[in-house]
Amino acid sequence: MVEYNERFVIPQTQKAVVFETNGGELMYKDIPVPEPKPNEVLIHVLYSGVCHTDLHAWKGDWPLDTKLPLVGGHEGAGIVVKLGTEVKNLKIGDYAGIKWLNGSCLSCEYCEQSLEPNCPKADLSGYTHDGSFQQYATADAVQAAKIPKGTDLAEVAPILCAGVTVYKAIKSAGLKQGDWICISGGGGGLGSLAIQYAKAMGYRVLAVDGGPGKKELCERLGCEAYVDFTNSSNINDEIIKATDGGPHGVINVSVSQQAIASSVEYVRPCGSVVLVGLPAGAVCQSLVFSHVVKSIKIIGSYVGNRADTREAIDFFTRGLVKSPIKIVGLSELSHVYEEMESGKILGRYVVDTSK
Amino acid sequence: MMKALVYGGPGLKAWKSVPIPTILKATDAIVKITSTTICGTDLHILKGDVPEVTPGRILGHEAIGIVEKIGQNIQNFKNGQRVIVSCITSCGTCNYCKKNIQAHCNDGGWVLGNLIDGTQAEYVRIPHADYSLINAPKNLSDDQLLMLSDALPTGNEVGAISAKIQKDDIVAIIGCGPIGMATLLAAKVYNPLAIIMIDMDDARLDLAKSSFGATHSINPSKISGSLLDEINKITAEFADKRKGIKPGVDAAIECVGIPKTFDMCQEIIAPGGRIANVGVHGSKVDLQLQDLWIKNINISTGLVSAYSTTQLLDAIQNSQIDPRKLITHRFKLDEIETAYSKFGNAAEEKCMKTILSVD
Repeated sequence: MVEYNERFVIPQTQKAVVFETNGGELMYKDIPVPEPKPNEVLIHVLYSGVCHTDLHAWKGDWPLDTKLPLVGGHEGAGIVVKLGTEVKNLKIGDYAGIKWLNGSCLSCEYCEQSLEPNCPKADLSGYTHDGSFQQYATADAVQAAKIPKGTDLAEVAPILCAGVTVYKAIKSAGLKQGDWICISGGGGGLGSLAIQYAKAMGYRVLAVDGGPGKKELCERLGCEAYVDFTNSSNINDEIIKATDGGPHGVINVSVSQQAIASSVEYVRPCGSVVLVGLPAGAVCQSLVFSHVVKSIKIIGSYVGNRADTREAIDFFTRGLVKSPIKIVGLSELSHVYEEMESGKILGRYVVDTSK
Repeated sequence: MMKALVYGGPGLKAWKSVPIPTILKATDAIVKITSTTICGTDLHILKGDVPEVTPGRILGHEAIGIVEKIGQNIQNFKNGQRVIVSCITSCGTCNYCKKNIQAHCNDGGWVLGNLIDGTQAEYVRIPHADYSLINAPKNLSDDQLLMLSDALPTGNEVGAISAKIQKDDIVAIIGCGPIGMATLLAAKVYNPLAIIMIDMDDARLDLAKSSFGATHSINPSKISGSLLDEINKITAEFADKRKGIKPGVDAAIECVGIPKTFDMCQEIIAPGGRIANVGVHGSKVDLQLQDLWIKNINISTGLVSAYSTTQLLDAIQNSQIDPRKLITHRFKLDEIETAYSKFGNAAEEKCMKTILSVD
């Protein structure tokens, strides 16, 4: 049994999945183990979730350049094995997570207000900073997610981005206990967690999704109502009927521009539509007339800050949320991306960095 | 804090800062290391071949040092005394220690750099120190004494003594690594007629003859006939001294640890002979009992017990054995990672034993 204390020996090289050009070959190879900067820690990443964003980062889909070459991944769960010289808040052997926000400046007007993800100088894991698809990754000690010692690291990995993101999104909707919340894309990586958070937070959940297995999954996770978009004559009507007037909040966690457009239509008057999922080039259309007359809100929600992270992990630690995960070796990452592109994934893939 | 060579799992090691060991039991002593070395067993540990050694362990079981602290019950040693650290820990009182099989001591045996932290560090905690340390005479340097921790006692006890070498015996030693050479040094003391070294490395065979006193050598990869034929050519040289003696060697000492070399011992042993196995084997061998049942031989095995260390120390004082020949490479203690690469590539680097010293 390896012990994570000052005797832990950090190797010189490690396995990682690297790409040199956007859309180029994903190489599972040996690379050097990085050295943490004074404000960083080195985390021995044991497991990493795979997020759709990682696929976008590889492909170069977004209007923001990735670092190249790049090690992707931003749901890394592991153990701190080395401390930068100025690190005060973590010890060797602590469990820690690498999330989307690797580091922020902590001194701009956004960071001041705990709106760290919106820091103009944000450093992003698996995008501008080598991420969690490697065995040893650096992370700003202040931003690294604190995970209770002894946590099942494979199970907590998806919480670090998917969990935090949907939890914050649900908070942003500003609902009250007993309100209806619609999870649009309930059977996906984010959706499956959103259903559980929403239920734990006291809301009534309706899930929308389609395809084999999704209904069973969403119902098992606790949704009260389910609408199959592949098999409905009128999706909006079905949703409005099931929620007795439209859901008070909608969390858009699908990859469909059409689903987003519909959410603006079926949301309850005075309700909130939250945009989370990022279909390429998508636009959210809202007819001004109905937007005003229905007095709805459309909110963009983007990951979460340190407090959101701590709260989201706490729901997991208390057993209230758990992502259905499938563990494969890090060496299989390209196959995971293939399945992701064809929409075949139920729940979330987590890679074991040792395989 | 002190620096130590920490094993991190198969293929992993690092020279790291760790806390200095402290007295845990009244029978312990803390020794400040002045010299240490690397053993073939340490290389096996690093490969992951010895699973009871867990990551985080400080390796090493051979050293010379100075006693820094003693537990309350220590009678035989004082602070500041220079000592030889035995690779074998012995409680001195159990059934096995009393029978001189300290290798199987109930609270000892080979624990250093195995089940407890070892000597490849600045300090080491020695359990049962009264029976596991030996006083180091002032007139003998670290290089003269270091081989007494493990290599010499092993070659002597598990090799020469177990093989019951008599004067005028013909001895074959298979394997010219540090253990084979240490066995050679020990065997010479018993004055056999001939010591035949067997190895596939000509450079090592030459070294055995030129520096360590072997009388003959055979490279089995370069002979046309069988190994037994070559042995018989050599024993024929001594025909006048050995009238009526059947072909073969009186003592065949295996210092490699693979089936092929154990087979060689079986092939060349003469009636009344002794096969002494020193090598660390990882898999089984075939015992050719259909040939051996009738030959009145003995086969011995074992781990060193270090009961003969003081006897060997006397042999060094009397210049009967000069172990300095075994040391080919010198390093400072903090160069240990370099030492590992040389020793790990021993044949090419022409490396026997290294010495790592604190200056």
